[in-house]
Amino acid sequence: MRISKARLTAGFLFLSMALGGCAVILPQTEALKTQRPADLPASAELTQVPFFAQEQYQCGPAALAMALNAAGVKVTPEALVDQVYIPARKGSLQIEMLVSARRHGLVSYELAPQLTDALREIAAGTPVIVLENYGFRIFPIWHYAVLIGYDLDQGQVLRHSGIHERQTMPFGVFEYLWKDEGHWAMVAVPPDRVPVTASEARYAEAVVALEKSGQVENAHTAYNALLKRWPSNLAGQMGRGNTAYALKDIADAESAFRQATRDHPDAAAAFNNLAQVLAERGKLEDALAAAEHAVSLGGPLLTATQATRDEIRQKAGIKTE
Amino acid sequence: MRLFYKLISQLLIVSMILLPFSTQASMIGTDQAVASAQDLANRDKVRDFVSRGEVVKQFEALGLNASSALDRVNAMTQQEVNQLAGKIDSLPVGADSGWGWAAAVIIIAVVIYLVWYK
Repeated sequence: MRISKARLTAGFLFLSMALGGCAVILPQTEALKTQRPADLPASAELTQVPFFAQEQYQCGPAALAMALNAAGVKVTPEALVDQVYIPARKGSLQIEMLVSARRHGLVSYELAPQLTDALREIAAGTPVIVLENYGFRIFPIWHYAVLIGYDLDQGQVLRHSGIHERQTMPFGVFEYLWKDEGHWAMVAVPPDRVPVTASEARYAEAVVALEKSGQVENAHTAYNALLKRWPSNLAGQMGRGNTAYALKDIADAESAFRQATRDHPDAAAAFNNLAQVLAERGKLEDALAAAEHAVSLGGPLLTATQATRDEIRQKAGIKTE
Repeated sequence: MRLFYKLISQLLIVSMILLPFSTQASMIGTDQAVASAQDLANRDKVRDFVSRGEVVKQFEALGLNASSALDRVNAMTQQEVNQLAGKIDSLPVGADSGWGWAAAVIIIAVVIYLVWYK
């Protein structure tokens, strides 16, 4: 492709601007250079991440296959084409990259837009899928690559990208390519492992999405992992109970909901589900007490909690008003 | 026959969406348990249904066959469907490494790096 004179001029203008204020354009590289995080090893490389060379336009399926295989899911890029590739747009959407990993039983987690977070995940053994722009803001050429290592002393990342295996790239160049879509990065982790940089609320959201997609067993494992890190998380406790219930482990469901009612005395849903489980186990008196309490808490779930209470009253032979 | 398929696929969409609500009527789902009061008030099943069907149609228009479009949309959360509805044409799609174009960008970036990061 020929580069026009106007483009070259623009490039030089940009360059002179860049030299005047690099910190403005590449703040994360600058921060990493001036103060290296103490908890970050000097270098890391994930040799267990396989490399799949991409077919034309299909960096999405290729990048995803690398991350999934690293997480223990045996899958080829070809098998993922039908889940993430859009023929008329010749590419893959970020949302579908997240959804597809979930369909394979993994937790899809979008990282905070920080280079240091991506490096921390790599140091902890998880490859990171990133979305880069090889074009310009107004004429973007989007591309997925997989970060598999870095070296702070050399100042570079190591990536599998397109047809290039173990390609090194300076932090500055990487940040420049990475910045246009909000420094987007994702990891796909097995359900028994929480990403090291995960935030409580956003990781809980990621596991709820896994449960909603029908991966009940994997979601159950993930809720347990979530509770190990954040023992009183409401989504974790409710999710653990609901998935245990769906898996027909009623005793586990009861203990999860009971814990939720202790840690979150305002959560009507916890009392409601506890009541339901107790009723099914024949403990009608306790069930009714929990159900009445759920109703007394009111809130947006009132219709549901009232229905539960009425059903339990009926079971117990009490007339509803 | 086309109409028949269309009807079947729409029925499938409805049933897939309603299924989670119809089983275990008395259990409250994890997503509902943690949603804020505002979220729950905003939740409008009818609108949700429409946007899911819309995204399926957009996928079909972009070259996916009907069954894989449906599979893909059904695997999404409602929030993800809402993010996509009407925007599939404008959202970024990761595609090629496009080295022709990239060369110009890379050269500039490498110069920045050499002058400044080292």
